[in-house]
Amino acid sequence: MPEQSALTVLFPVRDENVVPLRQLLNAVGQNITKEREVLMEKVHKLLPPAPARAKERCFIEFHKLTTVHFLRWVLLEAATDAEGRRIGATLAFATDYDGPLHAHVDELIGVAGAALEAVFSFCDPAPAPGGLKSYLLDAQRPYEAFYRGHPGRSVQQIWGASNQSEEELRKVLGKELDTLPHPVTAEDTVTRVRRSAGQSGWRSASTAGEPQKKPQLNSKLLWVIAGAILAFILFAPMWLVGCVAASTVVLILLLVLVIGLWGTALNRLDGSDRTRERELLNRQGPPPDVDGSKDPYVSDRSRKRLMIVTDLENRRGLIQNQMTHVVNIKPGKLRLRTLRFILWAVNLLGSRIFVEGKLGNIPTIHFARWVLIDDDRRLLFFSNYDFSWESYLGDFIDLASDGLTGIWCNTTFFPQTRVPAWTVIPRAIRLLLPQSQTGSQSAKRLFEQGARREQEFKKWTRDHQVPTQVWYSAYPLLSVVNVNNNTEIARGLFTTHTGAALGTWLRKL
Amino acid sequence: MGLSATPEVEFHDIQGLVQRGYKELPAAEFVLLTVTDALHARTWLSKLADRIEPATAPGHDKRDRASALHLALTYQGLQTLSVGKETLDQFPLAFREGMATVHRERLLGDRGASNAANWRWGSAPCQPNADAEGLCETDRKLHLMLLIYAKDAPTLSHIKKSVLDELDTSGLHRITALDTVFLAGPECDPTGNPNGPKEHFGFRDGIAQPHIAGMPSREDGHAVPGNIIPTGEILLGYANTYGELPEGPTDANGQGFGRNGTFLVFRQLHQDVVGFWNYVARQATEKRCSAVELAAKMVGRWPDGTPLVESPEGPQASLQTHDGFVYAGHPKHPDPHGFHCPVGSHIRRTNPRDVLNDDPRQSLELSNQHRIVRRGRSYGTPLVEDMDPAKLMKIPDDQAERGLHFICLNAAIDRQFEFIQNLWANNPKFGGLYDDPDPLIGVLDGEKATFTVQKEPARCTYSDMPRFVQMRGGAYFFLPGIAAIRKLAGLKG
Repeated sequence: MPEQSALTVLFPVRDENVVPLRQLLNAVGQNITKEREVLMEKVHKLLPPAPARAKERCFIEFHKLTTVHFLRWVLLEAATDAEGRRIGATLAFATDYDGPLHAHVDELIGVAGAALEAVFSFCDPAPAPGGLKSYLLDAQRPYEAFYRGHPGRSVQQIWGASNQSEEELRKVLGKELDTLPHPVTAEDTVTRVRRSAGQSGWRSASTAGEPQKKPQLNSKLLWVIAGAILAFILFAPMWLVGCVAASTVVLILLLVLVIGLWGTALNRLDGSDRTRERELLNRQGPPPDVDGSKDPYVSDRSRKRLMIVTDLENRRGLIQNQMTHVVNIKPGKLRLRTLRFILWAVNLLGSRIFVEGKLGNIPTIHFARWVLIDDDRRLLFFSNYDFSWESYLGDFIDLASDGLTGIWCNTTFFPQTRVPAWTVIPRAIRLLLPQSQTGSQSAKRLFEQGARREQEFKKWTRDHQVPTQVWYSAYPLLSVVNVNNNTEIARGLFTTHTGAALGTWLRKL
Repeated sequence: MGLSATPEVEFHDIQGLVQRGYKELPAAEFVLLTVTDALHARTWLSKLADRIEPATAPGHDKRDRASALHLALTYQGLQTLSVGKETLDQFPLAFREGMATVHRERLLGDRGASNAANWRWGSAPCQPNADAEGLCETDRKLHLMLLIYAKDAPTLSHIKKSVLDELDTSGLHRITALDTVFLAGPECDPTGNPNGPKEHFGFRDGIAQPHIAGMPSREDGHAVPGNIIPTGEILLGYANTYGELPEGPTDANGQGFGRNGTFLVFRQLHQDVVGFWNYVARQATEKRCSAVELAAKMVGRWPDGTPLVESPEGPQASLQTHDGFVYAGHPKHPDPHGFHCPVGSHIRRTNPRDVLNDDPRQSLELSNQHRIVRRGRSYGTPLVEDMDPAKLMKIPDDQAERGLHFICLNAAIDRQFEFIQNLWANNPKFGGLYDDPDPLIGVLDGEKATFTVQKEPARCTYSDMPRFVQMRGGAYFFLPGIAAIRKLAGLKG
């Protein structure tokens, strides 16, 4: 099973190189699709024309990349950190790829070497002749958290040029379905679609990769644990039972105490952070125009940045969108530690629990990653998601606001958040309980503020979005739900279904 | 802030259109105006303000209403009438930008013949170009819309005369007037009258409406659990579904210019009735099924309005306006997979109720965050007088202009109207589908749209579905509270 991974590479860019680099990146982006060309021309009107020399070197045959799910180049312009220090311009290059890493980088250089060299020549340092591979590998940045919406599936399996991709299989089966006589039995339907798959070269289920299954606590193991506990209580001497019980109580109390103190400290910090932000706003003044960024730390506070970002969305020819989001981390060690801890937890949940294509109950995220940059002074977020920004943000707020608030309340100008310091544990327990009998979903939340301040949170998100100059998707017309459904079709094709399972499989076609 | 979930609603200040669609006033016209002289226009406004029909408190509804008058303004209209910059800046971006921008054209699917470049009104004059986006801008000259409702044609023309006669001396100029038609039949409703209103494809329209908390009304949606939305989902100045005040010119207590106002989305949608029934009849012949049944599957209701999930076998007169149903949790015909009412049908995707995801209760809550109050009216002569599908299917194309003046009210255009159009109607991936936009109002990116009917043992697909609805013009308006209109009339330029 191929391992999907995230490659993030960052290089500083000297001030004098920012403008030509931006032009070059826009030109690279132009060549992804014709639609892109029309679009980028409009973006270009806002910028000085790119030199002809650069244009020749910016053409990448993206369709030849077999290891790349998504790819982007983003120029992060110079900005200011939360303590007022300047952060120089940075070029970020990121891929969601099928491992191993070396083969992926070799392919990148093989297909797009000239363009990569042209782009990175604006960086500091520039790659040495012939040294592109080590140049890229050495500049890798680790992520704090990485989420995959369809883990274990390679690009070739999902889409691919070959007729062996799962999307092609679905189409073959669909064509067969369209020719079926009516009425027809379920068994005949399966026989017919199997035969058509066989004629197209699908031999057995082995061609289809097994997606990761949610690790289930199997019931046998639960019985063993329960038995062991019972045996312990029955046969161990009473003083030992008492000891274990007492130490459990002490442990829980300690946990409550630690979380409570931690939350209280964060709440106190929040007050001073807010005062500092207010003072800064008073000093720097409001944004230059009504849709500009409220955050004075942002490199470009004007409405123009927002317009470039929105004009890059909902392109024709794909149903997906991307987001690049950069924001300062609030000063102080406690903030950074909290952020690191929560991202660690998100990463753990993302790779161990939410492996069926749904983060929370959100089935629209292909890949997302969080990276700490600039010596842990800023948080960089990349996401490749289905459908519109409005729906993406809405899903986040409605279904995953705790995660969002937990992460981004540690960054500047985030909507006001109070950590329920002493009630975190009861709230978390209520969250984990099965559907409560009464009350709405809203009763099951850790934070009542933060991202739940819907309008303010959406505005804050827009305030910190950065235009993604180059963005490529390998399967622009497939949603996460499509990809996962296709895998289930492929997996079930040669399985012997009985009863209800047969109907369930046929419904996926 | 202490925002209440069921607040005291200020009926006297709210335009009555928020509360009712005036089914008893079947004659209607929408007049688009531009302000040529703000000073005179304000005098005209101050007189008009007294004639605007307010909403009514429970038990105080008029029995003998013969007409109703309403006023909505564009952002440019508010600007022209000298509303201060501070107030204007508080309006949400969607309203300020208007409907004709690159970003919104893509969200709404206004491409090709539907592109703003080809609109009859609502976009600034520009070079017609079928394919390019963002060439046109919102028409800066479109300022006001007068919505006139009357019990019959003579009353309508009488009111029009009284309001519009001295238009040119009132600092106003008429851009265009959009007429309407009331369609009904062929069957009767339970009271014995022809069943309506219908839209031009021949289906009963405007049935599902949310119930606005604190605002009961005979015509409004039923106040049943699962159909009640917070007041602030529609009206500015009240708490919305997140317990916050909607974005707009109100202060922290919900007071100010925006209070009791709402955003009115207007889209003139041309309907290709012959194209629709030709496609349906052709597909039905090919697949040897009933054309009316296929069309009903596309809509989600039988032509008379009966929901498919309630009565999969055929229409039932008693269920014509029935709306209190869910899909997955239906007591008699549970339909989680769309065997009765297809997943991609128009009514199931524009209000997914309990089937947005696999958690019915969460689904209902999430669906209700994207509700709109619909106030649309049809226009143009019907292809067949009595709206009988059997006749609609057979008649040759008369190339006439007919369709729907789609009108909806919401407090957050981007989270409500635009979301429904973009994510639910236009999205070919809705409900786990692949290439299926809304069969009535959806727009697919590529050429190949399909419609899928879920059934046992396997789904049936109807392919090469063309687009049956095209945009002819549209704009985002603000339907202010009545006090706000008086304030506008008194502003100094």
